[in-house]
Amino acid sequence: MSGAPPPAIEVHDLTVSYHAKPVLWDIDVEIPAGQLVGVVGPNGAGKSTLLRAILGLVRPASGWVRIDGEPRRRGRHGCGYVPQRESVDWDFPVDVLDVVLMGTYGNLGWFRRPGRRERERAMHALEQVGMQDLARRQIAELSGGQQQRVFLARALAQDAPVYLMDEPFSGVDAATEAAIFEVLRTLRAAGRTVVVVHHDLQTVEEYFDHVLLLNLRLVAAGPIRDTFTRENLLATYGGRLTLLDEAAEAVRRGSVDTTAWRPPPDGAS
Amino acid sequence: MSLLDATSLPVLIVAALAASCCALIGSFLVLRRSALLGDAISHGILPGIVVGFALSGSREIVPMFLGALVAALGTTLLTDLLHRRLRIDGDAAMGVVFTTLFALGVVLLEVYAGRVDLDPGCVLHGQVEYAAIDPASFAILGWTPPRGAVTLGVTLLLDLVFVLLLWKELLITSFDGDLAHSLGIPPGPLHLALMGMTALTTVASFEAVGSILVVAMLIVPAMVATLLTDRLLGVLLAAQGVALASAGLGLWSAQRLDTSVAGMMAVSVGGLLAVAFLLAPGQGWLPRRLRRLSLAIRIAEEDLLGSLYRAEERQAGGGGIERPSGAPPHHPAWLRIGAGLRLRWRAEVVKSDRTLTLTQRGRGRGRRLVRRHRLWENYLSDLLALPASHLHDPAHRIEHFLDEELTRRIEERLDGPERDPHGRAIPAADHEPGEEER
Amino acid sequence: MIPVEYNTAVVLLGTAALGLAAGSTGSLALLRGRALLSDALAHATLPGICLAFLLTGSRSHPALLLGALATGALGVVLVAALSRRGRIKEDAAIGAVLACFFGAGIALSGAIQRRSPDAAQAGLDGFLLGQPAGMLLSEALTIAGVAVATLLLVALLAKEWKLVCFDPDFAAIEGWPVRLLDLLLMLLITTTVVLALPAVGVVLAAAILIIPATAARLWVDRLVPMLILASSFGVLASVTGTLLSARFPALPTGPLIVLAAGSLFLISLLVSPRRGIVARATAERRRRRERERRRLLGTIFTEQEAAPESPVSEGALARRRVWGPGRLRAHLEDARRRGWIRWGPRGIELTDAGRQRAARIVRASRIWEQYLLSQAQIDRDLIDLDAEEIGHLLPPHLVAELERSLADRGLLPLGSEGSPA
Repeated sequence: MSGAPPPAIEVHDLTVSYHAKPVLWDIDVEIPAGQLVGVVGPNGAGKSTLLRAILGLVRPASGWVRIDGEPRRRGRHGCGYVPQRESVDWDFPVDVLDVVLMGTYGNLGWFRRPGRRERERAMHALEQVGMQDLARRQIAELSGGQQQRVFLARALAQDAPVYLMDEPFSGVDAATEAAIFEVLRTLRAAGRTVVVVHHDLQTVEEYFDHVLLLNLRLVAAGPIRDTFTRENLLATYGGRLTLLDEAAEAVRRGSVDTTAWRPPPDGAS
Repeated sequence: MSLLDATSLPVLIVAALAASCCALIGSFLVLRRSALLGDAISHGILPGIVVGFALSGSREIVPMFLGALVAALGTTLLTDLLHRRLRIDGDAAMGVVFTTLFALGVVLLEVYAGRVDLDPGCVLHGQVEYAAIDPASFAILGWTPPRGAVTLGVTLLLDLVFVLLLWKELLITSFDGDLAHSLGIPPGPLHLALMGMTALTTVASFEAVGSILVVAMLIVPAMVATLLTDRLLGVLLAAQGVALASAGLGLWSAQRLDTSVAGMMAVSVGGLLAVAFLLAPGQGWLPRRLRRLSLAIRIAEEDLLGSLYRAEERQAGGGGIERPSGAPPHHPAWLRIGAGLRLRWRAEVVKSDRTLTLTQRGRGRGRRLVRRHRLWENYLSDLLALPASHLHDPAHRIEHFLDEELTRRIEERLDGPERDPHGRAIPAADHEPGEEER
Repeated sequence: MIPVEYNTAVVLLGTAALGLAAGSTGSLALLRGRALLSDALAHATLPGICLAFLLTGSRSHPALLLGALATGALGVVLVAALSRRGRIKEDAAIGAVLACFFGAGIALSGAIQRRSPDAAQAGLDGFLLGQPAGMLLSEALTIAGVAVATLLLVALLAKEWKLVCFDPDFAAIEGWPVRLLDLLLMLLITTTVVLALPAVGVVLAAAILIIPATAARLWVDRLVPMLILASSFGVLASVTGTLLSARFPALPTGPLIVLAAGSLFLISLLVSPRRGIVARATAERRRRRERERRRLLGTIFTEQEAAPESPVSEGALARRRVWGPGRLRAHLEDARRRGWIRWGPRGIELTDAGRQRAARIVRASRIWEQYLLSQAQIDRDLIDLDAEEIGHLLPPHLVAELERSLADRGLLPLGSEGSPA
C-alpha cells in the first residue's frame, strides 16, 4: 500500500447516450478525495449528465464508475445528492423537516420510522444551512434560495463521504450563496469530497480546489491553478467539436432506438 | 348477411359518419396532446345532454347540443380553474371534474327517467342500430334518411368547415404553441373553439357509439395515424382511413358475433392500433426488431472482416505492435456464425482448410473499417487527449457508424495522418495494389 | 340514529370499508401521478368480468373479480408498453386502453346478453355503475379485510412511498428499489379499484380513489394527515351515497357515492381555510384594503416631508390621481376612524400613531427600493413590497447597511428608528 490516497470518484471511459446519441464521450477521470471540485462547461455540455451517470441514474453506454474504490452503495457509504431545484414538485404535502429527514432513510432501512436520533440529525443539518426556524414550514411556502438550502440540508443528513450537487448556486440570492459556500467549506474540512456543477466562471477560482472542464468530452481536469487557464477555457467554450457532433448524429441515425424520438411540439417535458 | 344490404347499409353509414367526424376532431386533440380532454369532455357533457333532453323532451340535437356545449365548456374551464388558479394537480383536477359531472348525469338520467327516453345503457355503450333506424322528420326525393345520418352528416360538414377555415391556426398551434403565441394566434380562443367542436361531435356521436366509446373513436384513429406518418395532412387522412376501416370492421364483426356494433368498433380500432404498434413500417415493434437484428449482423460481419484484415497485416509484418489489452469483439455464437455464413455467401470471405480468408471485396470492407477505427483513435488522442490505452474500445464502438464522407473529413481535420497512436499504418481510402491483384 | 335494515347495514359495512381503503390508496396514486391511469385500469376490468362469466358461468364475485384483476393489470401493462417509446404520449395511451378495453367489455356483455338475457341482466349490468344492494355479508367482510390489509401496508411503507413519490431519483440514489415500490403501489391501486367495482362500477371506480384524496389535499399539507383525511372523506362519501340510495332505490348507488364525494370536494374547495376559494378571496380583499391604507398614509407622509410648513389638503391628495374622489373620501374616513389622521384647521394632519406607522411604511418601501437598486443577486421570492417589517425577510446586517445609505442621502424617514424590527 503506498502514498497517494485512492481517488474519491473514479470514472473510467464513460460514454453516455440519450436515445442512442452520445452526449458524453469517453470521460476518463479521477476525482481526488477531500476537495471541492467544480464541474464547469457551457450549456448542454453534459455536466448534469455526468453527475447523473456517477449517481447511477442514467445507464452509461460504456464505462464504469467507482466511489472510494468500490461500486456505488447506499446510505453512509453512498453519495450525498443535491438535485436541481426544479426536479421535484414543491406542492408535495411535506414540510421542511420531512424533506431533510429523507436524507436519513438510507441508513434507517426498511419499515423503520425516523426516531429522535434522526430528527436531531436533520435539525443539525438545518442549523448548518440556517433554516432551523423554518423546520415546520410547508415546502410550497419557501423561496427559491430556501428550497435550495433544504436540499442541501437533506444531503447533509445523508452523511455521505462524497457529495454531488447540481447547480446549487443557480438562481439563489447572495446570502444563500454565501451560506452554501460556507457549508461546502465545512464539508471539506471534515474530509468530504464535494463535486459541484457550476455555471458562474467568476467564482470558480474562489470556490473550488479542483476543476473539471467539460464540453461533451473532458477538456481538462486538475487543480484550479494548472487547469483553470485561458487556453483550457477557450477550448471548453470555444464552440463544440463539429466532427464530434456529427459522429454523434451518425450514431443516432445508424441505431434503431432513436427514430421514434423527436422533441415534443410545445417544448414541454 | 352483407354490409351493404338494406338493413345493414344505414347502420354502416351512421357508424362511418360517427367514426369519421370523431377522427377528424380527435386528430387535433391528439396532436395538441390533449387526448384526455376528449375523454373528460365526453364524460362531462352527460348532465348537459340530459338536461337539454329533459327540457325539450325530444331527441332533437339542438337542445342537447346547447346543454352539452355548456357542460363541455364548464368541464374545460373548471379543470383549468382548479389547475391554474387553485394549484390542484392537473390530472387530479380533470379526474375530479369529469367523474363528478358524469355521476351527476347518471343520477339526473334516473331522476328524469319518466320524461327522458334515454337509458343509462344506451348512454354508456351507444346503439348504432337504433340511430340508423329512427327516421328523420323529412324526406329527400321520397327517401327518408335515418335521423342519425342527418345529424352526423351535418356535424361532419361543420367539422370540415371548422378545420378548413382554421387550418393554418390549427396547424401552428398543434405543433408549436409558443410559435403560435409569438405570431399572435391566441391559443385560448382557439382551444375553446376546439373544445366546442369536440362537444358538438361528441353529442352527435354519443347516440351511436356511447359516451365512453366515443373516446376510442376520437383519439385512437389519430394515434394509429401518428405511427404511420409525420405530416398533419397525412395524419388527418390516415386517421380517416382508420376510422372508416374500424366502422366497417366493427359492423361486420358485430354481425358475426351478434353483439354491440359500437363495442366492436372500439375493439376494431384498438386492434388496428395494436397492428400499427407492432407492424408500422417506421415505428412498429417488428420492423425495429428487424432493423436492430440487421444492425447486429452488420456489426458482427464488420468485426469479423476487421479482425481478418488485421491478421493479414500481421502476417505481412507491417502491423506494428498489436494492441496490448482489450477484450476481443464479443458477439453471441449464433451471430458470429450467421455473420460468417453471410460473408461467405456474399463472397467477401472464403473458407478453405478450416480457415477464413478475405476475398478482394471483403478486404476492401475490412480495410475501410480498420481505416475508420484508426482515424477515430487519432481523433480521440488528438482532440480528447485520451491516453493510448483508452482508445481502442471507443473507436471499436463508433467505427460501424462513420460513413465515408465523415471519415474523409476526420482525415482532413487531422491533416492526413499516416499512422495511428499505436504506430500502425492507416490504410488509404482507395484500393491498395494488393487487392487489385486477386 | 337512522334505523337501518340488515341489508343496508351490510352494504354500509362494505362501502365504508371501500372508502377507507380508497382514500389512502388514492392519495398515493395521486401523488405518484397515477390518478388517470387508475381510471384506465378501472375501465379495463370490464372485459375481464365478462370473460370470467363466460368461462365459469358463475356470477359469484371472487371469480368475476379475478377476471377483472387480470384484464385490469393487462390494461396497465399496455399503457406502459404503448407509451414507453416516445411517439405515443401516456395520456393518449391511457385514453386508448380505457376506451378500447371498455368497448371489448361492452361487446362481450352484449354477446352474453343476447344469448342468456336474464343471467346477464342480473350479474353484469350491475358492474357498469355499481349495484351494492345485493351485497352479502361475506362479501362485505372480505372488502373490510382487504381494506384493513391495505391500511396496514400503507402504514408499513408510508416512509418508502413518500420518498418515491416526492423524489424518485433521490430514492434510487439511496438504494431503494424504486421499481419494486412502484409495482407494489400499482398492485395496491389495482386491488382497490377491483374491490370498488361491485359498489361503484367500472365507469366511476377511479373516482372513489381520486376525489377524496384531492379534497383532502385542500385541507392539509402533510402526507399522513392527508392519508387519514382522505380515508375519512372516502368513508363519509360512501356512507352518504349508500344511505341516499337506500332512501331512493331508483337512483344508482355508484354515481351517488361519487356525487357525495364530489360535493365534499366542492365544499372543501369553497371553505378550506388555506386553499379554499372563500379564504383566498377574503385574504386577497384584506390585502388590497391594507395596501390602500398604507398607500394613503405613505402619500400623506411624503407630502408633509416635501413641504413641512404647508398643510396637506384633500385636493392635493386628489391631484395625485391615485384614488377617485369617492374612494379617497372613504379611505380618509377609515384612517380617521383608526386614529391615524385628524382634520386639523388647515387640512389633514397625521396623529402621533399615524405618523409613526407612516414613517415605518415609507422606511420599508425606501429600503426595498435601495435593496433592488444596490444588490445584484436578489432572492426575488423574498421581496414583498407591501411588507412593513423587513427584519424577518432580509438579514439584519443588510438592513442596517441599506439604512445607512438611505440616511446618508437624508431619505430615512424621521420617527421610524424606534420601530420594532
